Amino acid sequence: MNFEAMIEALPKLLEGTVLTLELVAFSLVIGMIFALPIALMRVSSNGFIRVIPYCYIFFFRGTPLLVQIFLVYYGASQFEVVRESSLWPILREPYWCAIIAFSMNTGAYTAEILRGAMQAVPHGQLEAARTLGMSTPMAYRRIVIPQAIRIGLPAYGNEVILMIKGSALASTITLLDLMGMTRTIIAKNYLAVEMFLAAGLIYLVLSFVFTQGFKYLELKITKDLRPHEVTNL
Amino acid sequence: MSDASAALDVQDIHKCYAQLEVLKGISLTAHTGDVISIIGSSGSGKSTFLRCLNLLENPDQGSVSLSGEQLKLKSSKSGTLIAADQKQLNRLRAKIGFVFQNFNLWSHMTILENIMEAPVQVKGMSKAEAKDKAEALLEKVGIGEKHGHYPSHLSGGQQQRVAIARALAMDPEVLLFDEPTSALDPEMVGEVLNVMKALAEEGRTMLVVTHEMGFAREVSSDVMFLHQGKVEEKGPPSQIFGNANSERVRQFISSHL
Repeated sequence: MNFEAMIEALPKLLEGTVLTLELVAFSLVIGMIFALPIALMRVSSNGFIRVIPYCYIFFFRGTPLLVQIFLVYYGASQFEVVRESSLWPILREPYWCAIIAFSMNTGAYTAEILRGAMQAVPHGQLEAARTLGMSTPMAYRRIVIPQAIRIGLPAYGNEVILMIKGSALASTITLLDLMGMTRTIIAKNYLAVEMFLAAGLIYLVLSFVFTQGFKYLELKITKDLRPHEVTNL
Repeated sequence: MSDASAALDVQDIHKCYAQLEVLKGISLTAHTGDVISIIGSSGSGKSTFLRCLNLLENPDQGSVSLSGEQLKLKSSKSGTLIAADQKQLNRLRAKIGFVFQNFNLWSHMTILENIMEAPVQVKGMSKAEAKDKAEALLEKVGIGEKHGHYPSHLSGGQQQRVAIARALAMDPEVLLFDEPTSALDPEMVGEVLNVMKALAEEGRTMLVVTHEMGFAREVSSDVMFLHQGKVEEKGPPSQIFGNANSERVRQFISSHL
């Protein structure tokens, strides 16, 4: 095992890690912004409103992330309309293609997590809001969504970890994220085992940091679910 | 028939679930200060009737007026009546306090926040004023020292008293209680009934669905006995508990005392 080479590669690998984090952070934020309205549409009582997010989620959960990335990266350029549109400078960049595919993907999962969580909030909580004269939007904003976030947080933490690992697919469209950088280095030094091991360890550290972060967040926002003694965290 | 001066006037409520007709035309008029207990065996439609009054359940037929203002209703696609004017419904709901069997306190808020929430969000009251009011109400229901606690840290009886305080915070014109003590351990029933009794003595207008015959007899001004979705008999407690006209009511009373 060539540890020296691993250490030597570290600066480059960390450079890739920065890009990985950037892709993940952007995608999670955009995905989250997508997810809330989609989840709300999913719990609508109107069948027509429900079907749009259903199709979106059906597609993005049912196809591999790699296919989605390729569809955005290679697919969009097939259409002249796209090439001539003002969005072309964005859609031509692999960076933005990756972010678009990741956001749509994580948005679909996050919406499903939120939907499940909203439906897990006991119905009586909403009824109590209604009896006090709250409108439905207000009851969702003040009562249902805050509780749904607490219910969905562990599952969302899981989704973030999956996103970090899934972001390695960005390397397939020429991006030099952690995975892309690793493969570039291997192409030069042929030390596949050492380099993949180093990359794996960095992914592990990232996952660990995020897991701990979510654990802390969970503790912070679920005070009422634990005995009184430990609420003063 | 209907009475414009009444605090709450309900006419001819019908409600079906699929083939089952749960309510077969129930009317009720409550004047200010009336405490009306609604009793009857389970399945007689008591809770459904109460929930129809503020459209937690949508009746198939009937009308509801609060202090002379009639709730505007229209038919939905499924044939039940829904609010024609959602804003009016919300405004009237804010004046009808509702206390649930399972308390339904908001679990992510402290009990003080539970009580402040609706006055601040719905009525636009300032936080400081709502806090003072909430503290006074907690004092009133005997839970003054537990402000910062979450509902799950309280006993059932305490939670129900907080739920009553939450309803009171909106200064309701009518209070509806849906079996408020049925989910409680026997030793906690008394503390909740005492709070309700105090409210009755203040002259509040209350409709109480209950299995507590002692409360119905001592506190209510009227008792309504429901059987299979119809009013079997209605009258002052002395009549219902003393010499009811209906054999069924007499039987029910004798088996519940």
